[in-house]
Amino acid sequence: MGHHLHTLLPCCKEATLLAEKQLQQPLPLLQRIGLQFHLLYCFFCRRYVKQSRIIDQQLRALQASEGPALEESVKLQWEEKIAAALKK
Amino acid sequence: MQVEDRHTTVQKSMTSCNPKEWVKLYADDLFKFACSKVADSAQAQDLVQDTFLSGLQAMAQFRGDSSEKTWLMAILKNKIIDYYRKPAKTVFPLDSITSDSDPLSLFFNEKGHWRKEMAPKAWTTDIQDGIRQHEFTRILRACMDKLNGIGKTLFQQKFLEEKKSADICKDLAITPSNYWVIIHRAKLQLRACLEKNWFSN
Repeated sequence: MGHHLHTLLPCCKEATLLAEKQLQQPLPLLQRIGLQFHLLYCFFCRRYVKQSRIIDQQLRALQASEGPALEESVKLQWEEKIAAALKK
Repeated sequence: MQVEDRHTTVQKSMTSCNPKEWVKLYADDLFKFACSKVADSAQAQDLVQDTFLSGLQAMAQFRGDSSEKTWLMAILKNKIIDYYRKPAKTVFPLDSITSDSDPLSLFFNEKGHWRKEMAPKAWTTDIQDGIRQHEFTRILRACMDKLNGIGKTLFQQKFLEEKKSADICKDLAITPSNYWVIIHRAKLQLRACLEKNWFSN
């Protein structure tokens, strides 16, 4: 990851990774402090974290939303395939 | 008389297979389930079709311990697992993830700061209102499809299946640190795609 890696002073690249982890699980104390500190002065990463959370919510909502329906023609095709296989 | 007849066929279908009825009885449910797992409806269709065909071949082994539907569902689940295993192991060797060239250099400069042109812009459009939500979901799907293979797979398992990261790592044979590298990169790509296609116009 490079020489700038320092727990208490993460760069944007590291901070966004920490933020990604934090959306799923609690961070160890030092990493949490580092991220919070970074967010204090980094406007872009604050924005990123906010948007990243919205994306997660929307992705979860995708599952809840109904998928595309199965077309009747596809079903007919399947029925024919099964009938053909049964004849063998 | 007719009622009795129907009764006996139901009884019979509890213990033996009745493939002629499969499509009518189970296709929709199987398809819906497959869609929630793979998020690409054409792929979901293929998986369901494979499930029926495998079911036909394995019919002799069906003992009626479980219902026909549960049995077919179990076949489908195995198909889905195979579907995820294949690309993870063959198309994306791990060294492509841990290679020297930094795939994040598109987003961050050598000091690890945001590149000016890639830095997050303010999202001004409200997603929550009805029609826009629909459009947003469409773009979100399109952006998901654009993700490269392994990132897409992880995202689908993480969000669409709500699978635990430890299980995902185990199934795809990747380490937790690789998992986060891939998720991080995929999120950056997805966010950039959304911003470009949705929030900028």
